[in-house]
Amino acid sequence: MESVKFKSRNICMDRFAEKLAEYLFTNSDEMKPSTGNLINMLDMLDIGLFFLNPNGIVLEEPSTCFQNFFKENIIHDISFLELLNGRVPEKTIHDTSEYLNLMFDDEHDEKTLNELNPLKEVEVYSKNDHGLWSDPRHLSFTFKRFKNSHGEQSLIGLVRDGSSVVELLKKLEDVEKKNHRQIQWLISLLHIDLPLLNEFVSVIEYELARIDLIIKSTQTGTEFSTIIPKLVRSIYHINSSAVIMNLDFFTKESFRFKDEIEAIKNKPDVNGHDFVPIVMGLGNMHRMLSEIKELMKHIKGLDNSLRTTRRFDGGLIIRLVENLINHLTELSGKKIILKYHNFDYMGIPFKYRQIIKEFIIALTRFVIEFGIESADKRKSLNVNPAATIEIASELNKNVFTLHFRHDGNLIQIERILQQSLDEHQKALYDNNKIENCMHPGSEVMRLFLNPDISMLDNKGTSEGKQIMNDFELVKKKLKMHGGRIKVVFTSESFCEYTVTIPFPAKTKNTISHS
Amino acid sequence: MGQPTKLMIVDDSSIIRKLIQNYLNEYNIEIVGEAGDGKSAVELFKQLRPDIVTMDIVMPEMDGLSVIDEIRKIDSSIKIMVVTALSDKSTGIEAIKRGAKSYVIKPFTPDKLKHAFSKLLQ
Amino acid sequence: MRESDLHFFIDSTLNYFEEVTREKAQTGIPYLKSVDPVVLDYTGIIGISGKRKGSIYITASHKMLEYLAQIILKQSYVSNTDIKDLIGEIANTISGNVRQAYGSDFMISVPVVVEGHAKDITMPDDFQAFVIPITWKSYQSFLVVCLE
Repeated sequence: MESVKFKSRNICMDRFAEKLAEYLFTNSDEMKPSTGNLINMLDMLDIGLFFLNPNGIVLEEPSTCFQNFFKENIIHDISFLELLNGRVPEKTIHDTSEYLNLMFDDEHDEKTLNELNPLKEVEVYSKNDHGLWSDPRHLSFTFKRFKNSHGEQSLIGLVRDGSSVVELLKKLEDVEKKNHRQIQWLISLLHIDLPLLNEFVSVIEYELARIDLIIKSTQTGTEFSTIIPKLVRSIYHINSSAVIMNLDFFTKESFRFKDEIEAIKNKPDVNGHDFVPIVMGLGNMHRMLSEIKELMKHIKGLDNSLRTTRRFDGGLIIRLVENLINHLTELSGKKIILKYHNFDYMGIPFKYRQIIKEFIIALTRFVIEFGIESADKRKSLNVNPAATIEIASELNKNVFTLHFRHDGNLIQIERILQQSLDEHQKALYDNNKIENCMHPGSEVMRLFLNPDISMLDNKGTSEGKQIMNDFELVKKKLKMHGGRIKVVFTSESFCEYTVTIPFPAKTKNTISHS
Repeated sequence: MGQPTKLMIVDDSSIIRKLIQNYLNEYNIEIVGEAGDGKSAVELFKQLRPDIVTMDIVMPEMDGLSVIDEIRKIDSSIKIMVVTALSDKSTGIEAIKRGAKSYVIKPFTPDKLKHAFSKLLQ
Repeated sequence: MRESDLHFFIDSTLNYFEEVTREKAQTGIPYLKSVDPVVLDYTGIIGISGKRKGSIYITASHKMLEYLAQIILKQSYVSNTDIKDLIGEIANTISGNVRQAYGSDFMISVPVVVEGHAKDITMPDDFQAFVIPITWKSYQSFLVVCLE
């Protein structure tokens, strides 16, 4: 990568070398005493000077600067190509050899040959005190013909270190790329409330750390395939969180990560090799998370000055649900209208807001996955292609109630109901084993809400099972808080989940005013 | 049995030097010297004038390709077998261009080494 | 660093053990190196320059290297010098073999050997380092790769 400045410096060097050659060697014997001073001056300017005889040997007393570039103490009476050996790629040495041969032959025009100089800009390597390769230097060599005092064609060489410019340019390029990327990310992040963003980051951090631990603690000899379900679970949480935050740049990476895990899931013989793409993906996500956290520091300041009233906070949960619906319907060919005008998030006792939010998200996923058909299917059943999900809430004296209703056609429920009835019938037929059958209604409830049973035609996709597991977990959490869930479904009409949760008991420190 | 072939082993790893010795002991050879870096390899070569040299590439002081150049200046008929971890084609080509007659990539089995060495005895 | 980079190093490592000992080694699941040190009794470090910059190191226990040296040299006694030499040679061979994939622009240094449990081996800050656990005959060692 050649900057304008670097290029112009090279041009200056070419002219400088030309003048220098004339200056030094037109009156060679008289000029000799001044050569030493000139070399010192060049050293101070960080320009290395050396001379090559017709055999390409570096003549005595090249400048200190030249020696420093190669980190060698004695650098004369050796072949210039030998000097480059091991420091530049072999092809460059070969090209340099050809170039120098032509330079020593004054039948070829020097200016033309200078265009072919392979050392115009070259990375030169050297070893540090420990014998390890140190950072390369970007050196620029210029050669000029001159006839020495014996009339032999020789070359004067000048070398300059352009490393600082090149490094600066590279840093600039990297910074520009990073800035561009971060601006795009910032735009995505700005629309998310900071507490939600913090929560998102916590979830991702937790799950990435969990994945790290799972991978690190898997010893050779363990069936590698046994850890895949654990990885699947973690990536599911990461993807879910990214989707409801509507962070495209993150979801792209997390879904790619998920695809890598899925790819090895079905392999018959999983070995350590196979996890390489997963580990690379993990590395990318760690990097992204670090950058997100860096950006959040900037957002924090903005958030304090732009923060709107608390009343607006209630819209966040709805936005999350809308994001989720948009994402899931895009993938599944379903259309859904969300209604929420009777939903008051602020009415939820503060203590239960988190769990209610989790319940709504889990139930929305569950319903879209299992309860609502595609738009085409609905059309073929002569119902509105767009299904409706309605969320409402009410607050009575001691109880908060959440209503979640949808008008999915409940084909799955109907089929299960039918299956259950058929089994019941069969049991009646088969030696009166009716006492072993459950009541169809409860059977449906059991099947419907049991995470181990698949209700899909294609018996249980991984995603489907995750959704059911999540829903089951959230239900348990709700029950721990004293919540109750009732499901009412009316075939061909709607299905409504009602969650009731009592207000938390008042603490003894309540101050009473007389 | 004729005079043993004089062999000099050049490698910065003492394990590799021992290994080469062990693997080649069935041949009628005499290990006349060993060197652990490029510069001492050149000096030792001047003193010992072996018939065959095994040569590593990545070494301290002077790399193997440079050593090949130097010792061929002293004796252009010297037979050299390069033994290196550098498995890229261009290194191999370069070594052959500079005068190596045979080439083995580490890690090597006894058979591989013997097969490459036997070419030098032909 | 790309997936193919890790694959090259894993293949090179497995090839080394198979060729030298005729017994296959197994690699565990690679993972990102964190601040926790990954250092055993002996460590061989190689610096990498050229088109790709970085470094790699392999670290192993005294017992493993001793056993490996005994197999290689076919002798029951091996010195500490042999063991130190071996870890350097392993690092050199693994990185040298990877050049087949990268070409001659992938320049490797002479190995540097660290003896004893150093606090940690410093890797370049700018790039992520990946740890590849290697198990050979129930001995565990680690190859750590950090490449641009």
